[in-house]
Amino acid sequence: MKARSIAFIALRLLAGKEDRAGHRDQARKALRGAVLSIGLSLVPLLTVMQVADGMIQGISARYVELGTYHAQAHAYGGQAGLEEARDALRAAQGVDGAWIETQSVGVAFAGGRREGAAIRAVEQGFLDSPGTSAYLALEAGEARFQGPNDALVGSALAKKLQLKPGDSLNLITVRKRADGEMSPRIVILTVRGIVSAGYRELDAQWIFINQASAARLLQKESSRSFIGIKAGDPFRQPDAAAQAAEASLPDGFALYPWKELERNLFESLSSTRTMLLLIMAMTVAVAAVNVSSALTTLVIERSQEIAILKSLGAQPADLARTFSLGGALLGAAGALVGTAGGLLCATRINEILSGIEALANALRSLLAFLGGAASPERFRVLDPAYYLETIPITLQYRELALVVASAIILSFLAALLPARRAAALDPMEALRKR
Amino acid sequence: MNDRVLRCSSLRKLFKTEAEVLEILKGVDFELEGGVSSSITGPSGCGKSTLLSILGGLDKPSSGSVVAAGVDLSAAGEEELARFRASAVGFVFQSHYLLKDFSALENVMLPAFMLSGDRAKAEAKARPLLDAVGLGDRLNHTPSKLSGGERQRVAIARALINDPAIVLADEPTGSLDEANAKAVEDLLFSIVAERGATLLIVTHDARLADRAHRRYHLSDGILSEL
Repeated sequence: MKARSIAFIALRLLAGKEDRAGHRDQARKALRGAVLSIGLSLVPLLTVMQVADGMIQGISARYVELGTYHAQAHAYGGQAGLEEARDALRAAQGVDGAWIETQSVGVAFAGGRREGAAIRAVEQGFLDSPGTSAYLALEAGEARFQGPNDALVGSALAKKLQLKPGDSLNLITVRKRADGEMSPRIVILTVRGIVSAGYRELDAQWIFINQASAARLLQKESSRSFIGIKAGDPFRQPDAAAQAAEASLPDGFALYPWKELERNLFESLSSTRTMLLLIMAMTVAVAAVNVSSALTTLVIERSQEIAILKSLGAQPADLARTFSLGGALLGAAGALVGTAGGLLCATRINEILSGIEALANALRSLLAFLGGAASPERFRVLDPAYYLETIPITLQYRELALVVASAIILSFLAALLPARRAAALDPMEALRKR
Repeated sequence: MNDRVLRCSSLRKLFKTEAEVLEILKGVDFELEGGVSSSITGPSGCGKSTLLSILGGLDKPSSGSVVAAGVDLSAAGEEELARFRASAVGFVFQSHYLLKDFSALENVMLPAFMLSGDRAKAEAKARPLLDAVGLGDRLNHTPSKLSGGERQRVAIARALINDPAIVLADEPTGSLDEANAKAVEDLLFSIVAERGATLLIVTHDARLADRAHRRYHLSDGILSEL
């Protein structure tokens, strides 16, 4: 039988006209159920896939653009030659930017409150660069160092210390005395701006100060300096920055691409995502079993029609192909439903989470009110301490196509058993049953 | 009259049950010439339909040989039998056996479509056939929207779509009232004769059997010409 005829018969058997009583038969109900189950199993899979991708991409981009840079160059012995090396890198072909950064840690005091802080002495050019501007939002004040003791404070840290632009902030760092003992050193900073990466883990610890003041404000012994480099798209070409910098970097420096520097973070996020997807994929496999059972019901219910097709000249292989194609079509229909649902959920995940939070908080408040208790703390589906406050969604069409293709292949494979049954059906036996 | 289109010799068919082995056909020898109509009568359960299904390549004999339209059905494999059923033989069953999810036009064009893969050509062949059986205005009706007589006429048109050499009819009017039965048998004889095909009818109806050029009777597994 020709492929067109097989497709025609498969489509008719799957989605034919209504029977005499005007009711769909059992097999058709089972087929609709199979399509629905494939679709429903794909909704969480695609949602998790897109959301996890967006989350990983969002978190990674913030770390890479705001913290790690695309690559770092570290001097083997001290900080000598950093400026020359930076200038050489800026002139290198393919390098978008290179900035010196000095990092240290300290304790920030303000208004009787204190918090640990990661102090980053950066160049103004880094703050102004497109990659940084894209992910570091200015919440208040200005993102520009005017005075030597100006500071930009992460929004979560500023909130804890109740800081606003213009406020003073005491920063305690550790200093090594001449006798070798460590002693605290207090520096008074002026809050010039409140900035946010949109990721609490970063916003709760960062204090930016001017690189020009680093030598004065930070102790050499308890800080480290390096050159941060940016070049190209760090996700499509993770090694681009290191490769572009390599030829221009003077001796005495070692280069580290961001994937090496953030390997643990990246692998941890990717492993979590893979684990989640594997669990979700199992539900698709289970849904594919429904395709098999629905098609088996169809074969049993339509055994007489299969026999008629045989009497008209259909070969066993033709019928096997008809039902295998039927399985693939069911998978495709399910994938269509699932993709629509999955994409809808994925692109509206922030609204969905907000809705769930609003509903849960309203119910909790109502219960607390009825019970005479105090209003409960706000419930958050995703704790912003660990997740992005807003999940960025970037649709990964290649992965989407892979999932759709997998669902169709799984359904095709699930249809092989009923297809074999249809092929082996004895037409005389089926016709005699009438 | 043309050459023989069907010949079976020493045809035997055994059915094994748990308790015994039943010999339904006991060495049937039989020939059909091209363009000739024949009928087989006999009591219920005597093996008429079994013989018809063997002659149509739907069943295999236990022993003996059947050669139809140049194909040795007793030796043919599954694929060859399927090709034979698609191109050399047309079936008309007592129960119309139309596909309920297909319209009258689709039911009729399906064997041609299955053979060629060209739907337009298959439909072009099916339309005049449906006109010829008086259903030119019922092309898009599904079997459930057709009367018993109309369904059987669709079945006759379907049996003829691939211009088979042999048309096998198993009680073609058995489920119809007298008026419809008469109309269907008239149509069957006339349209098959027009196309020069060989018609073999299995029936209980002596009046229908008498219309055939040749009459046979099957009893106790033995076929004899009347």
